[in-house]
Amino acid sequence: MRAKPITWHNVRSHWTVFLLPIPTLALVALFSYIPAAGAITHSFFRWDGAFIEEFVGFLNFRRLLGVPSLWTPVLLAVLAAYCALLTTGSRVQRVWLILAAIATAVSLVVLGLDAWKSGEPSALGGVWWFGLPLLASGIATRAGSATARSWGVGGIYATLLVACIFYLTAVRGYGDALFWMSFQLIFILIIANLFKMWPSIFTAVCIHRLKSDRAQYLYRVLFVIPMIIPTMVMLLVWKFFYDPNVGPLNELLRAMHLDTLLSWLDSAVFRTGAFSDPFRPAWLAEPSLIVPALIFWGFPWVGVVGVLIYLAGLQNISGEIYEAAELDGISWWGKFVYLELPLIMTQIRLNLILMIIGTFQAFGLQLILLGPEGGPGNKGLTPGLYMFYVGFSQQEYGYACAIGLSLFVIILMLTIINHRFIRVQK
Amino acid sequence: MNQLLDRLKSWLGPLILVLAAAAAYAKIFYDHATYNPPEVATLRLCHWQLEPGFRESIDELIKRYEELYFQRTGKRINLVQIPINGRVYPQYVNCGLIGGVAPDLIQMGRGDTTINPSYIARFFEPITDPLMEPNPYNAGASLADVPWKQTFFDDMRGNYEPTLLQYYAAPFTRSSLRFFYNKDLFRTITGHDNPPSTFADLQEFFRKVEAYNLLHGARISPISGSAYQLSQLSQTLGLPFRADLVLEHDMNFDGRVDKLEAFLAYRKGGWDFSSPALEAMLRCLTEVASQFQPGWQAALRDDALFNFLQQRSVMITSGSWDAVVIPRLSEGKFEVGVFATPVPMDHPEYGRYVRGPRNEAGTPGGIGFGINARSPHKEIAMDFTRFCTSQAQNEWFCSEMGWTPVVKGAKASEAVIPFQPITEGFSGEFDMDLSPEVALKGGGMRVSVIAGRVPVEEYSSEMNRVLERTAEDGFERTLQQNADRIRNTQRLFAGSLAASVFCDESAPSRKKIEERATALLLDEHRDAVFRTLGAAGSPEPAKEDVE
Repeated sequence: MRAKPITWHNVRSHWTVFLLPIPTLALVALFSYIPAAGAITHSFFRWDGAFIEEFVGFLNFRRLLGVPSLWTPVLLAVLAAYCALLTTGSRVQRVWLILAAIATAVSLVVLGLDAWKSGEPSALGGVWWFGLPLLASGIATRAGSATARSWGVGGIYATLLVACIFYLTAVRGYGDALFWMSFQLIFILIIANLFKMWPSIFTAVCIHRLKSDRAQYLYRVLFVIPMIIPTMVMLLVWKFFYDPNVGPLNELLRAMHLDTLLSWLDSAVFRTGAFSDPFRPAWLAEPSLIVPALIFWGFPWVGVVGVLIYLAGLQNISGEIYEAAELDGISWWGKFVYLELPLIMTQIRLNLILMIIGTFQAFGLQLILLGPEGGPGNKGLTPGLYMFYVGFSQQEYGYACAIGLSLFVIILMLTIINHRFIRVQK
Repeated sequence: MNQLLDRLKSWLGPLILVLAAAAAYAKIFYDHATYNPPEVATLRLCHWQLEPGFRESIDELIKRYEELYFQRTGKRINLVQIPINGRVYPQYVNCGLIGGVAPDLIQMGRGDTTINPSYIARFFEPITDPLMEPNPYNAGASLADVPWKQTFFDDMRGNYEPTLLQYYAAPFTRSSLRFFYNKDLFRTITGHDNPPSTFADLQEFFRKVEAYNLLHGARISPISGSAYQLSQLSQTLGLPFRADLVLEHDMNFDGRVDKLEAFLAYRKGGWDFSSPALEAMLRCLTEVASQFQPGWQAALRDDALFNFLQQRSVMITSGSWDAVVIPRLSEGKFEVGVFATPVPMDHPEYGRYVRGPRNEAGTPGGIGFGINARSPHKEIAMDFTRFCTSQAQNEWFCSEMGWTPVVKGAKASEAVIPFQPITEGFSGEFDMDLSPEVALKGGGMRVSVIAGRVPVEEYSSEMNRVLERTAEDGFERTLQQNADRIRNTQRLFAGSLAASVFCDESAPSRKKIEERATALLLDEHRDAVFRTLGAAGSPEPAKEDVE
């Protein structure tokens, strides 16, 4: 059924229905959108959260993301990519692309003016290095031959890639090195979390395949019960688990005689000195062990919410599909790979997005376990924790807002990529 | 009937929700009416002192004061203490003060809003004028007619806020750092009762513990440690290494090298993280920390204490606040002794940089509560502070806690005698955290270096890289913060001046404001000189020029 547009007559006759969402919308605006708008505004201010509030333009972003000469090639390449895409897609998509291209062009002009004002002539240096290949590629996209056109589009994307690599390499020297360093841990954790998603999927499939409804119900309840345990309690349990002197992990490793193996590996291969004699590795205090400890966190990685979401997806699969597959002689593994996995892709994509957002925003766990510096060697420093440190320890709330806004843009881009490239077959 | 049951069932969920909400509201209103009736003034007091006995002693002081207040005025008050973990205390206080919901009495010293003068001026009520009057709770004692300020052991010199020319908090106690040791275990290992008095003695003791462990197959560590203990050793053992740096680069003779002075000295090439004194300090701390129990980096303060009480270590560093607690906890198990941290003046390598122990004579009184300027009960808060720092109450509180009293004439318990301040040696600070990046990176790497995981040279070169990249930004930021502070304080002075002009009796006198404004101008001038020097990259000026 096609959705009908809301007319004034509809509003007048069913006004009570339209009144119902108003409190929710008002609360969402009050507690989500207004603070978010405030954060965007304050990212252009030197603001200590109390009484110092001074407009500083792009200063916070320049400190965070480096000088404009680093940004211009990326923006230029993005602009060229938008222009190249203009020939494809529907009319609506083209309108959006034009708007995005205008926004990028305006950003370039503003940056150029800002750089000119601050006496930074090198800001335009990158334009020549990247502008010429982009111009050549742009001309090629207008050529008569299809091969030349595809080379032109390829050239634009390649320049964009080079501009991004150039930016990410150079920004560590000219921008906020600690902010960019904090992404190392995030990328490690995201890769680890991609593997840590699988136990939840397998568990959900196992529960789903139980013949008895009663048993299924029992397992669902058993998975819901841990949800009432406060996160802090779980955190303290894990902290105790990692304790070097009385924690069960070291005891377990000793009981399994893995201490000798780990000590040998450390002395012969890794040479970190973390597994010295006597065997009492400090999992949350040794710089070389912090990342492995954070990855191992939550073993066996069966997330309660994840399992319930996958179960909901699995329960939507019709019994007829199973019957048809069984008639075709499908194996238990084939059933999982060709039937269940593709049909719960919507749920997997949802969990993937939530996982990426959650990993990027993470800071509570690291703060409580490792402190605001992210532990020894800043190994546990995440962008969220850095934002917290800058805001609440250094009282630089304006700069913290700029970090938050940058983080938002990065998460948004990753979500769009996720949305675009992980296809769901209905 | 069935239909009725079905109907009831469908309404059961919402009914339970409504009943639960009603019960919650009833409980809130009942509690509010019982504990916060409108006629009872409620004051809140927050602190991060989670030591055993502190909360109980404060509760007792509160109880005594509430009774006294009722007898005097016939009105009831309700004082509530809020203990907050030290790790989150800065965030709690910063957010509370900025948001206008902070407690009435706030322990000073953690969090920018209780340290940075521009925030202190904005958020806290000065107590300078009441300090000049006698404390009424000393009536009948030898200090009855003495101004409150002069009843403290140092006449409150240590708690003076020089930038604002005001006092903001009256201390409850004073502290010093020492080594506690297990006398029985020490005797068993060394064969004598004399604790180490020199660094060579300490090294000899480390060797004896190693030999004892080899001989008996024991796993006793010489010192019980954690990051908390390390921070104490950094003061007692690390600070003397910076004596020469402070003497050389203290341009305004205030006994410390602040961020601006440190930056100018850095620009001149006077120091960096590869300076021999700083590297020697790290090596010395690494050598001592290597005697901590394995895995100390992950241990908390209580873990280290537990380790010591379990007799797995012979010594532990702590402060005078544990003078009674540790002997009480070890009662019946072993005897506890106390000795001062030996500094390596006699060491062939470290001795070149160490001029003496850390001088404790100038250590200010601790645990001071500031009065929130937005508190609706400032008078009561002030009166409670007076009550707590009267001779009788301070003596009672400190004897209960085993702490050193701050009020003259208040008797100290025998347990705190070994904690009398060391009056010889060196005191002075050298602020190396020139930028937030240096602070963050240094904070993250320091434990790894001292734990021996990162070579000292690697740490120095990494920190030098951070310093090179961010020191200038940090310098600009510090100047900006100082300018903000001066601007804010000038605004406050302007307000006070206007109030004094319009005959507001509670406003400070015009003369006092002018004195303070002059001092502020000197500060501004000093920063202008520093800014010029920093921008020009010129060599460090002669001290006389800056003076």
